[in-house]
Amino acid sequence: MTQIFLFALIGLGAGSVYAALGAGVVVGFRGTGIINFSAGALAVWSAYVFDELQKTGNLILPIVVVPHSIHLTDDPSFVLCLLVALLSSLVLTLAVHLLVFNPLRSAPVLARVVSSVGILLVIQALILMHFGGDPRAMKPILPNETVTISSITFPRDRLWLALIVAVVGLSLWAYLRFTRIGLATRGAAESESTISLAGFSPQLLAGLTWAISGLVTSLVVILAGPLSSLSASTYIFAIIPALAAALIGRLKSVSITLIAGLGLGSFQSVVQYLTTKDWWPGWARIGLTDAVPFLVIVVTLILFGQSLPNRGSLRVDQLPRVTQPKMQIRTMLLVGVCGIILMALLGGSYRFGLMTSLIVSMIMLSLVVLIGLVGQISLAQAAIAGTAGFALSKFSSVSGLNFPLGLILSVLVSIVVGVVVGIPALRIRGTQLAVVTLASGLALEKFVFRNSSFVSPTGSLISKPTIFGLDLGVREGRNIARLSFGILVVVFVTLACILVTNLIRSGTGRRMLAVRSNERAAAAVGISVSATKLLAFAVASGLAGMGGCFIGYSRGQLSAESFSVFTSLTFLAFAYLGGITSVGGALVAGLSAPLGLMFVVMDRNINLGQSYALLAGVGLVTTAIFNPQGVAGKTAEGFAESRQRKLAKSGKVPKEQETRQDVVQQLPAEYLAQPRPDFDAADTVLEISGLTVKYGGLVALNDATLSVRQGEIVGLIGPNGGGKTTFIDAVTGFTSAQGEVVFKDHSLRGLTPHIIARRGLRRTWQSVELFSDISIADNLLVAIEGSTIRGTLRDLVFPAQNKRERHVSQALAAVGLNVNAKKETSELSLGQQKLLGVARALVAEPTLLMLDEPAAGLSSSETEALGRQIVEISQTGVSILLVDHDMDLVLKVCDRIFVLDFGCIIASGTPDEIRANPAVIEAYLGAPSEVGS
Amino acid sequence: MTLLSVESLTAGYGGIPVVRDVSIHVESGEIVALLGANGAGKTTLLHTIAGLIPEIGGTIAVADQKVNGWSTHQIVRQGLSLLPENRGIFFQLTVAENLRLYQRKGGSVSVADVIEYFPALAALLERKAGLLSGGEQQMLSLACRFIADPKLMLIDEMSLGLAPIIFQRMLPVLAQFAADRGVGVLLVEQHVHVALKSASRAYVLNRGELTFSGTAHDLQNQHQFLESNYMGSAKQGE
Repeated sequence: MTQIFLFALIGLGAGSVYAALGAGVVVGFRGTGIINFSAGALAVWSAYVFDELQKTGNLILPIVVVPHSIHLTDDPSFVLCLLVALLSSLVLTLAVHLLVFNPLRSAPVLARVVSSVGILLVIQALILMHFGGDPRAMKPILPNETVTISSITFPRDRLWLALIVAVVGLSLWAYLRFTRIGLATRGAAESESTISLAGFSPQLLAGLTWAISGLVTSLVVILAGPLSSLSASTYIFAIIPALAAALIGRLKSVSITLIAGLGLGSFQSVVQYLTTKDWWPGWARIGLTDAVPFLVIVVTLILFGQSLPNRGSLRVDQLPRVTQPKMQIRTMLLVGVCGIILMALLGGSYRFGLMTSLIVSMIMLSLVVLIGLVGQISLAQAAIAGTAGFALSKFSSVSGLNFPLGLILSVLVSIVVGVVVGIPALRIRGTQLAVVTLASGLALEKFVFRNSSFVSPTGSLISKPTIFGLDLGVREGRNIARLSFGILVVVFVTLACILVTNLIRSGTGRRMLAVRSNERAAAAVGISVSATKLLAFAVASGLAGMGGCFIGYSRGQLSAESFSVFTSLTFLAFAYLGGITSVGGALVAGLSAPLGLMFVVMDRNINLGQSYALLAGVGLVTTAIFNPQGVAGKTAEGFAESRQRKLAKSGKVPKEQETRQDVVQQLPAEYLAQPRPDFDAADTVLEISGLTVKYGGLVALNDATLSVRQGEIVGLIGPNGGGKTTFIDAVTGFTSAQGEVVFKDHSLRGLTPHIIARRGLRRTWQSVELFSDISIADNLLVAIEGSTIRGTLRDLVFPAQNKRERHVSQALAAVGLNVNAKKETSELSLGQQKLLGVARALVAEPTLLMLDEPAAGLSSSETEALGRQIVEISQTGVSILLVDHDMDLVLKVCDRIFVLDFGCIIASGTPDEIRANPAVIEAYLGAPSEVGS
Repeated sequence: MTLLSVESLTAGYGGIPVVRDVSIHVESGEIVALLGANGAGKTTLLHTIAGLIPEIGGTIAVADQKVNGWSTHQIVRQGLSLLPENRGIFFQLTVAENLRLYQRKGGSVSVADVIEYFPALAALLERKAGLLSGGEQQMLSLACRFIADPKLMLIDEMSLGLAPIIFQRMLPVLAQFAADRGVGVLLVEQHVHVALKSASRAYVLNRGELTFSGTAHDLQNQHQFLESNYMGSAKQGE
C-alpha cells in the first residue's frame, strides 16, 4: 500500500504537466473555440530554449535559413533564462495566433484541427533541427532533496511542482472568475457576436487567451523538465492525457481539469508500478500507461460527448469543395500503364521511391474518403495501416497465408479495427473526434505495435508475395526494387483509385457528401447518418490496411515507427497538401510524402535532414489557410477556368436557362377557382395528440393536437417564437417530445429522423439547408436512393448510372423550377433554393410534406407561384402541412389552419374562420382595441 | 443631433441583397419604429448598421462618424447599442456579471441607475441569466443596453417570446430612458400598434424596400396599408 502511495506521489510530476497543459487547452478553447493540439509542442519548445540558454547562453529562435542562434550572455542566471524563455514563448504563441489561428477563426473545424497539427509538426521538426533528437538532462530547478512522509521517502520536487501548478491554476481560475477581461473571455466562449456587442474585440480576447495559456504551460513544462529528461515527443504527446483531463473538466472548468490532470499522472504511475507485479498479466505490461488516457477519453466522451459545448463563432466557412471526378475509368487505366512504364524507366532507389509513393497514396486515399468525402477527422490512419501490416506478418509467419489470402484477411482485420475506432464518430464530431482518434492511434502504437506479447520482438517479418509460383517480391540479391513488385503496386493503386472514383460518383458517395454537408438535412431525406459514417470508416480502413500490407511487402519487415502517431500526423499533412478532396490529390500527396519519389529526388541532390518534415508542417498550415483544396484541387480549378475561357472565346458559352418568370406565366392563373374536395376524417394520415416539448424549464410546445387528412393542405401559423418549427422538429424526430404521433396508423414515437423520413413524412427547412457540396440533381437523387449493402458494394465496383433522372426533372417541374440540374446550388437565387428544398422533399413521393416557411425571402410573384405549386402538389394526393408567415399565402391555399402562440394552439378552422378570429389578430398585431379605432 | 444616418444602403448575405437602397435617419431623443412583415429585411438592416454583416453599398454614420467597414466592437464604442433577437445577454453569467461586461468605461450610467429603471433586477443580481424568466431576461437585456450609456439604440423584436402585457410595460421604460438621456432609438417590433404608440416616426420595409416614411400618427391611420404589409393582401379586398 505504501508503495502505491509512493508511486502516486511520483506520478504528480507528469500529472502536473498534464494539469497545466489541460488547463491551457481549456482556457484556449474558451477564448477561441480552438483545441490546440500543439500546446505540448509549443511548451516544450520553451523548455528547450530555457535549457540551451542556461547551458550555453545562446537564444535559439524558431526560424530556419537565417541564423537561428543569438549569443545573449556569458553568465546566464536562472531568472534571466526563465524570463527570456517565457518571453520567447509569448512571442511564439502570439505569432501562431496572428499567422494561423486568427486567419482561420471562421474556418471549418477541420481546418483548425489540421492547422494546429501542422504547428505541432513544425515545432517537432524545429526541435530536431536546432536541439537534436537526444533526450537532454536539465539542471535541477526545484529543490529536490528527499522528504519522508510516514515512512515513504521521495524527492520533494514533485510536491513543489504540484503546488506551483495548483497556485497557477487557482490564479487562472480567479482571472476568469473575477477580472473584467476574464469575464469577457467567458462571455466570448458563449457568443462571439454578443461579446462584440458589449464592445470587446473577439480577436483581442483570443490573442490574450493564447498568450496566457502559452505562458502558463511553458512555465510548468520548464519547471517539470529536470524531473525526468527533456524529450520532444514525450511532451508533445503529453497533450493526449492533457486532453483527457480537459475533457473531464468538460472543456470548461479549469479546477476540475487541474485535479483530473494530477490524478491521471498519479494513476498512470501506479498502473506502471502494478504492471511490475508477478500477478499482472504479461501481455498488458507494455504501453498500458498510454492506453489509460485513451480509455479515459473514450469514457468521458461517451458520458458527456453531446453535452460538451460547441462554441459558436460569428460565421463558419464551408469545407473545401470535393472535386467530382470527370475522369473515365479508361483514363485511369492509362495512368496506370504510364505508372508501369515510369516504374520500368526508373531504377534503384528512384524506383523504390516511386513504389513507396504509390503505396502511401493508398493511405492518402483513405484520408480522402474519410475527411474529404464524409468530413470525419481521423488522426489514426497510420495505426490502422499498421494493424493490417502486423496482422499480415502474423498470418504469414504463423499460418503461412501471405498473398493474396493473407492480404485480404489483414485488410479485413484493419476494417474491423477501423470501424471500432470510428464508432465514437456516431456520437461526437469535429475536434472531439480528432482527440479520440489521436488517442486511439497512440494506444494502438504503444500497447499493440510496441508490445512484444503481440508483435514478434525479433522483428515482424513478412515474406515476399508470390502468385502461381511467380515471384512478386521487392528484393532479389542486390536489386532492392524489382519491377514485378512495382507492377503489382501499380495494379493495386490503380484499383484503389478506381474504387474511390466510383465511390465519389455513386449514390453512396452522394450520401457521404450529404452527411458531410449537413447531418440534420441528410437525416431528413432518409439517409442513415450513422451507417454512412461507419461505411466510410470501413472503406477508409480497408484502403489504409492495404497500404499497410504493401509497406510490409516493400520492407520485408515491420517496425512500430512506420505506423506511429507522428506518421499519422505526417500523412494527414501531406494528404491535405496534395488535396484532401480528390483522387488526384492523394496521388500528389503520395509522390511528395517522406521517402516517396520527390523526397528521394531532393535527398539525392540536396541534404534534406529534418527540413522535409518542417516543409510538411509549414505546407500543411499554409494549405489549411490559403488553399484548402490542396495542390490537386487548385490545379483542377485552373484547368476548369482555362476551359471556360476557351469556351467564352469561341462563343460556345452555354445558354442561360429560362427565367422563372416564364414558368410562372405558363401556369394556370385561376388555380383557386378549382373547388377543393371534401376531406374525409377516415383518410387521416397524421394524428397528433398532446404533443409537448420542453427545453429546460421553457415549454416550447404545450399539448398540441392536430390532424392532417390525405390530400389536405393544413396551415400552421403564429407569431415568431410561437413554436411552429418546434412542432415540425418534434413530429419529424429532431426533438424529443411527449405525446402521441400516429402516421399512417403507426406510432412514430422513438423513431429516428431518417426512419420517419423513409416512412413518407418529409420536411423542408426554414434556412433551406441544401447540400451545397453536390449538384442540384444530386440533391434530389440523394433523397430517393435507398442504401443497401449490396448497392454500396456495387457502387464501389460498378457505379450505377442515374436511371432516375426522370424523377429529377419531374420533381423540378412539380415545384416550377426550371434550371439546369447539373448546376451548383450556390448558383440559385434564394427563392430557387427554397423551391429546390421543396423538390428534395417531394422527390421521394412522400405521403405528407411539412414545409417550414417556404415563402420567406421570396418575391411576391415567386410566392404566388409557390402557392399554385402547393395546391397542385396536393392534388396528386400528397398531404401538406404549411408553416409560413405570409398570411396571404396561407389564407389562400390552406383547407384548414391552426394558430400557435406561446406553444399553445389558440385557434383552428377554415381560412374564413381564422380571418375573423379576434384572438388571431391579437396574436399578430398586439392590441385588438387599436385595430378598429 | 443626427445619431444615425443611413444613405442608400444595400445589404444582404454573400453579395445577395436583402435590403435595397434604404435611407433612414434617427435623431437625438426620438423613437423611430421600423416595421414590416417577416423577411422584409429589418434584422438584416440592423445587423448591417451594427457591423455584424458587411454592407454591399451605401454609407452608415453613427453620431456623425462614418462607420463603414468598422468592426462591431468599434461601432459599439462609438455609441451604438444593439439589442438583438437572441437578447444579447450571456446566459451562463450572472445578472451582475452581464451588467459589468456591458458597462462602458467612463460611462455615466451605474448599476444603481439601471436598477432605478428596473427595480425587479435588484433581487436577481447574483442569479445566472439563463435561469431568469423570459420577461426578466428581456429586462436584463434592456438594462445591459442602458448601462452601456449609448447614444443610439437599435432594438430588434423586444417582444419575441414575451406575453404582450410584459412587453407593453417595458416600452415606456425604454421611452423614459431615451427621453432622460437624449438617446435615439430605432425600434423593430412586430406588435405594430404598441410600437406606434411610443414612436414619433416610422419606416415600413416591404421585401427589402422602404414603402413608408413618415410620422407614427400618419401610419396609424392607414390601417389598410399596414395590415396588407403584415396580414397579406387577402385582407385588402374585404
